[in-house]
Amino acid sequence: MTDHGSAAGAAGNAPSSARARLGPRAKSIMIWIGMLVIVVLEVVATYLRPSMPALLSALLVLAAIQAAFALIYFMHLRYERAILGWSMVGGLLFVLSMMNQIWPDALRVFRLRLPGQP
Amino acid sequence: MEVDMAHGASHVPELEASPFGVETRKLVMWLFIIADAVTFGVILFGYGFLRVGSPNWTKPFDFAPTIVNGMVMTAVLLTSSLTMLFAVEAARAERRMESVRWLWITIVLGVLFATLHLREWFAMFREGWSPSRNPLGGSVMFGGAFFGVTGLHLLHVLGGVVAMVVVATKFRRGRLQPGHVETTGLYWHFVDLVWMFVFPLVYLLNAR
Repeated sequence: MTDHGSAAGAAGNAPSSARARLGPRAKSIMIWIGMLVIVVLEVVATYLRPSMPALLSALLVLAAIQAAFALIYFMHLRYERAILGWSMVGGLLFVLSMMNQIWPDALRVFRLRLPGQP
Repeated sequence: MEVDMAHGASHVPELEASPFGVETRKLVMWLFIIADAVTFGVILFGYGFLRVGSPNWTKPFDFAPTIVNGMVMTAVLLTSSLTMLFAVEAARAERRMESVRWLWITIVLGVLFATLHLREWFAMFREGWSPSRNPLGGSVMFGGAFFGVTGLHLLHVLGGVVAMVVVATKFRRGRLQPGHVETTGLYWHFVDLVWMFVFPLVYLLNAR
């Protein structure tokens, strides 16, 4: 399995193999450009100065889109059996959604008062 | 493995097919990634808790140089994911030397990311920041949260660079299989994926 062997064997049909390689690479480059555009969108959204909840929501949605691209195309989850994706990503999303239970406690801090404080 | 001495042939007992249809090393890498994702999830939720619960939270980052530097770092990491994709693709197609070249380009981009990150850290140290000190007078928790989240990610980047050097060297010598490059690629894409959440949540939400 060396480049020398494959190069010698493929010498006759080099242009066609180069074309065959271009397909998936072109798609990967398009996805890479799309992800760079999302980064720019995130920065633009930040400097439009929306309210904090709106900005947080926008950034999380854009980051989730980027993560989905990375999982599906870069980590090839789309080529794996569906059970792998559902077991791994589904389990992770369940755990992360359970962590959401902490927020009421974070907000409680604002209502805490020292004894005698109004 | 049973060996039929009379016929000189080996009879490998037929194993039940994996329900996930992937090699064991790849499945183990997925399990590691999920466990690591939970670790980052906990740390990012903890950071969110501190941020929401601190009335005097500091927003120290200016567009230049910090956010611009963060954008460049993100572009470098995304590009390294693309080059890693090419390395995996070449390895699968048995183009070993091409795969090794792409791996080394990915390593250089990983080192560049770490260098940019450390340069930013040292600039912050010079301004008086530390994990327990805030020179702007706001919540001291900012330093701990910022250096904790980005430091854990930086450790993953450095670990990935070391792993890629080992894999590139051994794969070039024919001691590893294309599956090893693919498994390393999975890890590297995960490091990239985590940064997609770190950059907006830790940098952009703290932009002035």
